[in-house]
Amino acid sequence: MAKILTRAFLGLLAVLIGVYLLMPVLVIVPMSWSESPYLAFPPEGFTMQWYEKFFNDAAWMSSLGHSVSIGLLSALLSVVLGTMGALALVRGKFPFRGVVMGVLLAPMIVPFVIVGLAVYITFLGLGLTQTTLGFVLVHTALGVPYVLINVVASLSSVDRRLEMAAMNLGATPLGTFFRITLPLIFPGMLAGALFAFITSWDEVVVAIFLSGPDITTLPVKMWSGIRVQIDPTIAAISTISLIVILAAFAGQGVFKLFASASERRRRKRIVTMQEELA
Amino acid sequence: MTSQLTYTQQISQVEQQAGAAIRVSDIVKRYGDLTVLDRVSLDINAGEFITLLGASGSGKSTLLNIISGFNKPDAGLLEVDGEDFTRRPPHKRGLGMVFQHYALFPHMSVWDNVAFGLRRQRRPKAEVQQRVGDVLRMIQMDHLADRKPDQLSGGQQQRVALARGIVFEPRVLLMDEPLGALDKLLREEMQLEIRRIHQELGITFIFVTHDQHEALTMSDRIALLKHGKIVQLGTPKELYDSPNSRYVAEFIGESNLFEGRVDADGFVTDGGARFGRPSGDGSLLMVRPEHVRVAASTEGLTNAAPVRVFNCVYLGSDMVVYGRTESGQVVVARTPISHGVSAPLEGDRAVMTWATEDSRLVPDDAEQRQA
Amino acid sequence: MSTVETAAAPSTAAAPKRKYFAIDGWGALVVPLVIFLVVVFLVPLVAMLVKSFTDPEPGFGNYVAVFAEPLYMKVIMNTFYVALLVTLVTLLLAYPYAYLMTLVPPLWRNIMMVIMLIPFWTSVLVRSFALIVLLRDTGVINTMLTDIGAIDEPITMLRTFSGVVFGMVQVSLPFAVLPMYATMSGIDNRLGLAAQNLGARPSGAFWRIFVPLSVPGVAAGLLLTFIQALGYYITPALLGGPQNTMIGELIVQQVSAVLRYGFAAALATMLLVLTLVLLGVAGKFLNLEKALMRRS
Repeated sequence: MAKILTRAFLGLLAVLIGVYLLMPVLVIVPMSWSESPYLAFPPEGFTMQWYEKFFNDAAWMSSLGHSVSIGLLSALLSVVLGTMGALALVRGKFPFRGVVMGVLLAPMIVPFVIVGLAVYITFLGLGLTQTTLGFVLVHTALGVPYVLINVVASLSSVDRRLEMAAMNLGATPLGTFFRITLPLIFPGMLAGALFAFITSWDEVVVAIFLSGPDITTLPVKMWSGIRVQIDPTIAAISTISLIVILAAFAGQGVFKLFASASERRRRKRIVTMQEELA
Repeated sequence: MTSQLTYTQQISQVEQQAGAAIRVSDIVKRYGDLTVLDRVSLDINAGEFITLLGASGSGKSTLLNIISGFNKPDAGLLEVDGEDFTRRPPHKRGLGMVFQHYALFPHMSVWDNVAFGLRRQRRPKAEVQQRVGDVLRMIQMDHLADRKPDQLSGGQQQRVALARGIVFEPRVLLMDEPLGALDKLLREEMQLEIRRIHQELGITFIFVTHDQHEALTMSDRIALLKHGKIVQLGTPKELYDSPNSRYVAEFIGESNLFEGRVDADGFVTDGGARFGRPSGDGSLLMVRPEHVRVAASTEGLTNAAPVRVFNCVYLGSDMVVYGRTESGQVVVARTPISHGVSAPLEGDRAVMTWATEDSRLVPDDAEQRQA
Repeated sequence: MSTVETAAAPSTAAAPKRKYFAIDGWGALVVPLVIFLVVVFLVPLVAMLVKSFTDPEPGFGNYVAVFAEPLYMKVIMNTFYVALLVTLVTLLLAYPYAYLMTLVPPLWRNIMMVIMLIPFWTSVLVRSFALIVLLRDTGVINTMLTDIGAIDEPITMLRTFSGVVFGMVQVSLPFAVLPMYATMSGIDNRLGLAAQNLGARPSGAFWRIFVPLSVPGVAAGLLLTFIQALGYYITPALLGGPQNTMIGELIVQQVSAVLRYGFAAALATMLLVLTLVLLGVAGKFLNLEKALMRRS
């Protein structure tokens, strides 16, 4: 009886938390097609005018373009640097391991306000504020830990014997890397790249410091929009932003599904192996 | 075979020459303070099936990895058919290998796994097709060529790993506990299969295992390793019948060992019992359980150990009787079950006996080290 | 068994004899990343630190100013207060949620996970905007409550202390739930059954076995929540009023409105040092915890 009550209480609490978490998303999407300019809920009628307003506005379009290109470039750079770093972490020997680990993961922990201010002070003198390069550099630093974590995880599950087998069969060390190791860690690299892209796409605090009349990213433009006046255009853009993230997230989910299916098979094999040995 | 030949030429010469002879001389391998291989020397004949047998940490896998090139020895020489292989990188050795847990490439089909080595050697496409097809038929896996490794059973994966190791007709096939992950029935089947393939190909097989039973079944010769040294090298029969130390006697098969010494009249155990003098040298008298019979009385027996039976295990074809002498020595007899012979009961008095020629003197470990 | 031999062999074999400054081919791959992060991340932080002592004039003036002005002290105290409260509320919500995830069948667990991950990967800005739309006087909640006649006057929720906490907890929840769930799902549920078999009641088994074992994950999750809450900017700036200013907002104000870079740098440096100290101390504590668990 106590058990049923406990479960019922937990279930009710979970439902409330679920509503609490999803409510913003659930409210904002319908509002983006409401005819009322006052963000009324439930939405009145159906219109695409706020989307049209967004797509016909040169300033919004420019910030969208910057967000996309900065996001893609920093994801790419994150993957290259992060994969190399992950290979070194898992396979390599290098000095000051603890300190290096701290440096590599610090961007995940240091509050973005601090990063923004520090980068702003430094980049100002170098002329890197309000440049795509400046954004890409910082967003890469913020995205790299995600690539590291994902690639380290997939690399740790790669059996060294596979590489030994390839070399035994005549593959050169470089050939072994490209034919065996890289295909096996590719899912991890892809996941890391997606996270790095989303990090850049969503990032607003550091971007506020680096933005200006020359370059503004979509979140920063939304930020100033919200502070000036709340109108359904923001809801429309939020919806678009959500769709982009959810698409990336869904892609990642599909990949995970595949990966976990093969992981399950692998696990099963390992379990049988362990049973044999026991 | 001279070193001017290209790698591919070397491989194609293999076809006429079958197995390679391998000489391991004074190989030393250390990890920090730990000496994993301590001046190991071993001559492996061309076409031989040799097993490196030992417990975990004995150095058998390290020795195999030195032959395959994944480990570099700190000292010593490795020669394959007279050529120095000590520092040659693994991908230029051309030795086939079957890895522990198979190490099949999970992102490639069975076919691509098997063809991998041939492609790295840039063999003509037609030849790759031909050879992969042949070897898959040989192991009865041709119908599963398009499967990925994780869609195969353990036994099937084992076959593919074997096919991948032999398809480019190496002079040597190295196997690192290849049967460890299979269940008992499949393992016995694969032991016969590997043995058959060895006879068919005629190449040198180096097999690593910790399973003495497997080693006895399959090998031409066995090298038993302990703490980085080969303690005994010989045919399965030599290791079983004439172990050169207590360690070997206990590692290979089961044995009854009596500590004592030889005097003018025969062998006296430390407990004071007197047995006939067997062949060999040493302070231990070894007799295998299957040579021990259970008798009712000591009358007329040269070798008689009166015991009190404390356990009797029924094994279907055999019966194992455990007895303890007055001095506390456990004696085990393993006898076929036949009609008319009733099994002794726990607590019964009985006499363990054997023929002198079935027993053997074995040096104790300390003596063996001096020898 | 010989797995260890094989696995350990190649890397050790490649290792040179020198111990401390040794770097091998694989290890060298970390160099570009380290250089990148030093240049893009660490150098700016150091530059900020330097600026806090040199701008507008050399000395501790900026730090003195922080403590001299009651208004700034109020912001700092408020920041701690909000962060603590957010952490506490987050714990009260996240723990049962994560615990329930370990109880339900896989399908529901996945659904609960997705509900947690969607906000996790939705931008803080979008969520804060949505909360404005929900909470403001003419917002969704007030309109609905008025429509059903529950209230006559709209309740002011936006630009209040509770509005900030409401928004920040929403942002923090996923960060706390994910590590908590990871730890809880690693707890062998046979331990609870064993405790019950030894005579513990189900609730006793929960409090004596499950809760202590979940402490490392919970502590890690809460620590992250607290550290993040200290540095929040967007949510308090949008949902809070002038009375609830937090340190992040103050930093941005000082830069964008009054161009006091040195002072902003001093505030940021204090926040950074606090963050690192918390991580250092808690890191030690958590490792200790793990070591103790491993020993027993």
